[in-house]
Amino acid sequence: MSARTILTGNTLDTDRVLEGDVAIIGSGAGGAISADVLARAGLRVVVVEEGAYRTPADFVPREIPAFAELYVEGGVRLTRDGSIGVVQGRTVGGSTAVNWTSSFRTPEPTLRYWREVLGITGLSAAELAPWFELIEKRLHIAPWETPNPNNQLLARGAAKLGWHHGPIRRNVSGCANLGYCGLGCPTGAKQSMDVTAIPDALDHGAVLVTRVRADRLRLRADRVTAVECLALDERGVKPTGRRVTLRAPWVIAAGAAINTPGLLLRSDVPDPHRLVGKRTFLQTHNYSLAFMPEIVDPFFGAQQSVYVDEFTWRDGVDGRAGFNMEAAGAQPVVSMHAWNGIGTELADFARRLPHLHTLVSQIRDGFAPDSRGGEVRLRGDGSPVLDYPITDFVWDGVRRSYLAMAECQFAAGAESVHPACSDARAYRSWAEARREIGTLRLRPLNVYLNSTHPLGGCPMGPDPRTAVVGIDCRHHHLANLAVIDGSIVPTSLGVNPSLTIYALAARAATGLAERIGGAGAAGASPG
Amino acid sequence: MDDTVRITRRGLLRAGLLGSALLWAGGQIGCGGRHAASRPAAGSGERQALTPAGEAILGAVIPVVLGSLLPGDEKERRRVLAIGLDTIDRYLAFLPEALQREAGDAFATLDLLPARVLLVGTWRPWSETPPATVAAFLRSARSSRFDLVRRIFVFLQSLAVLAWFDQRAAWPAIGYPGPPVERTSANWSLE
Repeated sequence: MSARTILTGNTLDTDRVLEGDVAIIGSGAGGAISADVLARAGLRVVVVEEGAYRTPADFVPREIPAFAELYVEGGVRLTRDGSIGVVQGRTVGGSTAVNWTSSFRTPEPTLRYWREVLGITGLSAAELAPWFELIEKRLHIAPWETPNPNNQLLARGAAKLGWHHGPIRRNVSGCANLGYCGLGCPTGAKQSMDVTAIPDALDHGAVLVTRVRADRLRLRADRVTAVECLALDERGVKPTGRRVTLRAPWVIAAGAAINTPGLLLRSDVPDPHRLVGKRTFLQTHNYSLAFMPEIVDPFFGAQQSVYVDEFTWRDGVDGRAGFNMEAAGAQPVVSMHAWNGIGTELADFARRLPHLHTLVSQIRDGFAPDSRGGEVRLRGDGSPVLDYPITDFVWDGVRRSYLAMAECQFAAGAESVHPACSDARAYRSWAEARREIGTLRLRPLNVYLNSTHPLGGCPMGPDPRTAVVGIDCRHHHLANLAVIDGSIVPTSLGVNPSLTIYALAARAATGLAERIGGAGAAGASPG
Repeated sequence: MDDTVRITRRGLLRAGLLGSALLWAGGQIGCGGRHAASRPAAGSGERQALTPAGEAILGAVIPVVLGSLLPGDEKERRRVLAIGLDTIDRYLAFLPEALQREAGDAFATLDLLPARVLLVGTWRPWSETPPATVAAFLRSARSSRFDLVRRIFVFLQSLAVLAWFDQRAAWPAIGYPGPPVERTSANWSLE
């Protein structure tokens, strides 16, 4: 094991040019797995990351410091009209460092849709299985058998109603069940990229540069000739004036949805069919808040360990909006953030926090003809912003999932249920909730919406007229650019996306290693 | 539906349209951060992102949003409000510069007399606006028919939540025992 090479952008006092075989932009699920696979294959890898490198001992289990320091735009990256907060990580490990560890294989109906409607071959469940197995073994992904009360109540409600549900698998090893996954795992149990693939890649000679932002790809003919990066200050906000230039025969964009399309748009990457940034999907999350007679203590214990998929595919893959359902209890700021009370109503609500039971629904987008997602645009300063119109398709999903969540919470014994919507109120029975939610006024900024699953914007597919990258993740118009992150996912998934991104990244990076011909490329293959 | 509701709605219609114009104007004033009110307060502690206008507005809004959750003792109340404003300042300072400017512009606009008159219904500066007036403004903004006004509400209310619930002083009343692991931080007081 050689000494690890890590440069911090905020301390650079000269401009730097870094050379390697592969330059990787971003250290999240896609970038880190790619870095690990390619470095193990003997290739010289350089990874740049806008966030800082924190170790488990650095993580502070307090909400505001974590949101400010570890997340993009403070954890609330608002869509253009301010109505949906997109949640993404901005630290070494990307969103994997702050996600809640929920690990699902890509559902069969999603893969079938990709094959039958989008013409994506080679990604059947059987063909992906070895890649899933590789990652599941690597990240210790296993079902979580000791759900906290928040999740037990979800399972209880679903069981009473006869709804299909099951335990969520989590990427943890020696988890102490603290429930602080979203603030960076303080014990290092979470098998996120910052404690797995990134250190392994570093041990195989990869170079990591933190606190730099990829500003622009420099292009000549059909090739990327350099990646121009700006060094940032200690907070990762202001450019220091120092530049870092990456030169490598291969470039992997792995900055995730919104950022990767933003980089391609800023760089004027060839886009003859105007696809970049379009078809960005959020699998929009809406919330239902209930008070239970028993103590829930939603701030403790693994946040998500039970899923309900009763409604995910019920109306067909491309019918009206399907949604899955999970628990969403957390520490006080997150718990209180979903409900915008004032004065006494807020105080009364907050004092009952130990009894609060929170459910989240995630509304599957990108399959139905009238579900085309949002579009990434550039602000005047070149930074990307997502324009995501909330269509009737989404509102219908919000209403039906409010109904389903309320029904589940009452079945679990709730005393009252309050959809996280300021035009709603607390309902005392399922009959009342059903009547009221059926006619509840739904409008932007009154319905609390966010998304921890932004996907798409650089969709993969065989046809350059409808896809930005091929099924091997190589760009359709630039010979030495690959995109390996959530932006290649051509629809939402119907589940939490991390495992899908890990597996697609392992597959694509292994293919790339074989193409480039690294010394030990074969060693990266699964099985 | 009685006259009061209709009049209120007419009032909000007016406020909504003029509010849009004002916010636009504020954006122009604050463009590039040249306007003094869009810059962090000079000499008031060590503010990095929160502007004097923002401090004045939040100073009026936070106690109204949090109500009886805040300590009754005046000295303790001042202490936790100061921590809350420090927290907001540090949180804003980690946002991209464009968003810091946007927040500064929004505060600058809300601090303009026409905005106070039209949206809040008072000629007084924020620091002298009675809590009942601020509460009425927040309630009407929350249910406004104008997206922009509702956006202002969400912005202010969520900053108040952010200012309070991560503070130790907030936890006993809401039954949160605090994190199981204690850490220190160079950037945050963690009070």
